[in-house]
Amino acid sequence: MSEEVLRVQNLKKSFGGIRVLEDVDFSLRKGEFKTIIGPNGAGKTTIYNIVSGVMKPTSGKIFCKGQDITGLPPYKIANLGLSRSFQITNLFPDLTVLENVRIAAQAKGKDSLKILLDYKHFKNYFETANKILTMVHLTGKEDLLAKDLSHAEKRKLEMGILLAMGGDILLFDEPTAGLSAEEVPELFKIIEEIKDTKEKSILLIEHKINIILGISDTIAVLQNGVLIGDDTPEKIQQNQAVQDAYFGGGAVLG
Amino acid sequence: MKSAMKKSYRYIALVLAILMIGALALAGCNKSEPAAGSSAAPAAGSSEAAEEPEVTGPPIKIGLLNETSGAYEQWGKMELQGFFSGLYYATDGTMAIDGRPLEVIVEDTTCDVGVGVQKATKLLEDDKVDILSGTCISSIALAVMDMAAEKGVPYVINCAASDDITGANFNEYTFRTGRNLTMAAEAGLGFLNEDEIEGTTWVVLAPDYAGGRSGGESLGAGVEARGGKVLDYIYPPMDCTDFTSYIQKIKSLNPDYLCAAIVGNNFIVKFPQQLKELGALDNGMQYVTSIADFDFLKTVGEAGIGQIGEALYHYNCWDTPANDALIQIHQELYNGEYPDFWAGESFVGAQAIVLGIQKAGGTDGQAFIKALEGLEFESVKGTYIIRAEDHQALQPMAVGRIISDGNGGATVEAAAIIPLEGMTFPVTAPGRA
Amino acid sequence: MKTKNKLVLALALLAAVLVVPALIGSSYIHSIIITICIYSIFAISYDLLLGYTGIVSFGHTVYFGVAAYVVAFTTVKLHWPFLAAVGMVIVVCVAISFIFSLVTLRTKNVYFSMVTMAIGQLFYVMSTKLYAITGGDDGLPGVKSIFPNKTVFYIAAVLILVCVYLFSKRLVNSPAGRVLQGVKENDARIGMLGYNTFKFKSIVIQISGLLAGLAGILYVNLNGIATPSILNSSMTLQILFMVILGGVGTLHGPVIGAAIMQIASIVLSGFTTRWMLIFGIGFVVVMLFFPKGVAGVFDRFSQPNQLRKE
Repeated sequence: MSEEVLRVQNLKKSFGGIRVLEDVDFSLRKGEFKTIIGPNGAGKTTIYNIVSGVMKPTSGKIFCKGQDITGLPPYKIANLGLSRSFQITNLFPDLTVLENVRIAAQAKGKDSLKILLDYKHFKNYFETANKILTMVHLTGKEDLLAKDLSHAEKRKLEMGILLAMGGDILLFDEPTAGLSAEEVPELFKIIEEIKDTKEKSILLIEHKINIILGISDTIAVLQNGVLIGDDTPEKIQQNQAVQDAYFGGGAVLG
Repeated sequence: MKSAMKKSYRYIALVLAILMIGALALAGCNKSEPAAGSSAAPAAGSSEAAEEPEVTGPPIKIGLLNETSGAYEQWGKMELQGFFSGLYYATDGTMAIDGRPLEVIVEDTTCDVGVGVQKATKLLEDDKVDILSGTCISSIALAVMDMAAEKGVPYVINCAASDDITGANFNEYTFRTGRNLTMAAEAGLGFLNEDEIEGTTWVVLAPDYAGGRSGGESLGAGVEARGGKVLDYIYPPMDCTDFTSYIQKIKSLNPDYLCAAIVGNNFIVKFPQQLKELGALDNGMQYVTSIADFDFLKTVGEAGIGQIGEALYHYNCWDTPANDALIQIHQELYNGEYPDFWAGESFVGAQAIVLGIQKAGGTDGQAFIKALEGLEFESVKGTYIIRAEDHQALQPMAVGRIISDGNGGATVEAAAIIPLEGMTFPVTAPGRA
Repeated sequence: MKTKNKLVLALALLAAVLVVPALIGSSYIHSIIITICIYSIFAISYDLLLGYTGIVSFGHTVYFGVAAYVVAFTTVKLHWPFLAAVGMVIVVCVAISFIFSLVTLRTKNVYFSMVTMAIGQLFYVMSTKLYAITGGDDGLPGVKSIFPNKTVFYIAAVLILVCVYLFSKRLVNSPAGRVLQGVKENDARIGMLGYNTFKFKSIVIQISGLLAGLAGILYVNLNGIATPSILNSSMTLQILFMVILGGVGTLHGPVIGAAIMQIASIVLSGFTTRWMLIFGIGFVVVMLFFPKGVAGVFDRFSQPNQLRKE
């Protein structure tokens, strides 16, 4: 049993009087690939926001690699190796594609406070950035401004930024959102390749059931802020509560 | 389609803007005031002058710093017109001294200290003026006077009123023929003798900002120094339009005198109006406040009748040959306009410059200084003496009273004249007392 | 424009400017160019905040004005040597930067701008009310220039501007400078990459404050007096105009904007007293057609698709 890299414990979140998350409790082991599914508004992105430090939970705790990170600012959590991508594209619009990724790579290094050296001097970040761009199939587009990319290219860039951060815990938030049926497999292939490196622990929020059944080690099901199932894909498919809620009762996909 | 339409709107806007700019520029060039940088002196030679004297030497260059544009451009105009009137008078219309024609170079300070210093640099170092003069703004005068002294050029200040100019910041090349703020404050109360103030009760009022509060405090200090008693200081906010509560307070205090250091339309017009309406003056309380320029009189109108206070200059307050000449020359040169406010001071400054050059026999700095120190001469308000210790001109001061002009407006008469001997303020120039 | 050509053009311009005192004897022209250098330094410091970090401060003239007052007060009233006065300016600018940094922590966007404007006006009011220290509305006169003559001042001002420009250029292209640009582009995301944005904002606020203070020191050396007008919000707005007119986020844009505003006010005021109105209309027209400022005009001609590369 490998160690827990991420543990979400008794997480509750309310906005005003509205209960968005109710006693969410799960963990991610090292090297595990867990997918979180659930209808829109179930609270999936809220979990990410709390885990990455953007929001504070109403109650509950988050542990990353054994350390209590509840309430820490986002940059400190990122420096522990936990990085996330966004469902709604969140890029640096007037910077080039290359720079979007390079600045993410620079965050991991110790050169960021230098003010008297030209940034081009630090070639390692450029190399990392180019490598990442190759991985996400954006070579040839380095000099375009991020705002001028097509939607599919923006999603790939979003993923590129995440990867360039160099963290070992990756949180993907609907990476294929808004993509057409032809574009989805290409993006998913990238995720598969990352999984195959066996170097990362991955959390994925997705809707497309067919694909995630094959790739996930575990699937967590969230409905109305409650975790109604957290198990292997086979067991989840047989879970009655999950079937009723999510699969519409009866139909088993496989 | 849409963006093409937007583009044509843009081009229309551009054409309109260019037309507007052109029209404004043309209008600006046609203004009757001399544009900055000109050497224009009004025509030398009128029916009064003798025939043109022959030129026997190089021109005498006089630099005039002037607020030709900006917030104080009205004051700049007054200073400029009074100055030229004074040169005209002092040279008997020849605009020349001992055969050397006067060349006046006017530079616009735009009411900005940085620009004022730049223009002074031009006048002192590029144009190499023999005498420097001008500016109503004390901070510009304070900055420039150090520069003029460094270059050994005499600087005669006509209007700027800060005490420091002939006080803490004194240097021997600087002279001021206008009155300073201490003299103004003293004159404000000067319509009463010391024994008249003794035992009287006062309320001091001013708008609530830095200048108002300090003005109010000097007034109060002046009253108490003469044995009067200040019952209260009242500072309504600058944008106050309804003074009822303050006036009720004043009425309840029932002082002999209400003394105000006022600025701003509300205070100048609405306050005295409301004073009258609420019957605050019915008990014989006298309203005391300094009297400013034609704009002030126009604004305050009939509501101001009865107000009394220091009047820097109003042409109706003085009965001297020089004042008559100022009015006549000013009207001749400037389309029948009466000289206003600062013109009464810049006329004197111009006259002093001419007298100084004549007495010194030239424009040598040190000789000019010696010539002006202690100089006694007759001008607009009577006898002036330029005090040798601090180069400040001692002079009579007027306390004015606003009266009806017979046409539904307001004018000023002299309620009292404080003679020159009544100027008792001390020398504060370091090392000069 | 190719980098080599840019370099040649820059050097030619520098040589031309430095040669002016030898060719043109007019002290007036010298003081105009010194003034342009002073406002250029001030404007560059503002562009570091506005154009590169996305910080919209309406209190920036505090550094400029307070520096002038500190020099005036310490040298004229306390008779300190000039270097000691400069040391005091540094201390004061660092302290003020600290305050502004805290404001960035607590407020965002419009609220930040409003708070900075309030801070700026607070200093302005203090300069008019604390008569004993600041001389009130008249200001603090009597500052003697440390430069022996105008020509030395001229050359020093130009060289200081060049140094400030080169330093700022290197700063925005350094690893830290890239982070600042990330802050401008997407403040939330750049934090999530692992950068402590507060630290970076503090650094740029410190640097920009010190540069504005440097401009203030030069200003009071040239004009000999510190007055409340340089602490007024209208001064910050003037600098804002210079930066936007010249081209925000370019560093050379602020210099162009400073030069244009100075020259326009002098040239126009020689023709008509309505020059401010004309200048205002001209500004609006330029903004309609060249939203990237004057610097954007040249970019348009040199490269059809200007990519933000640096």
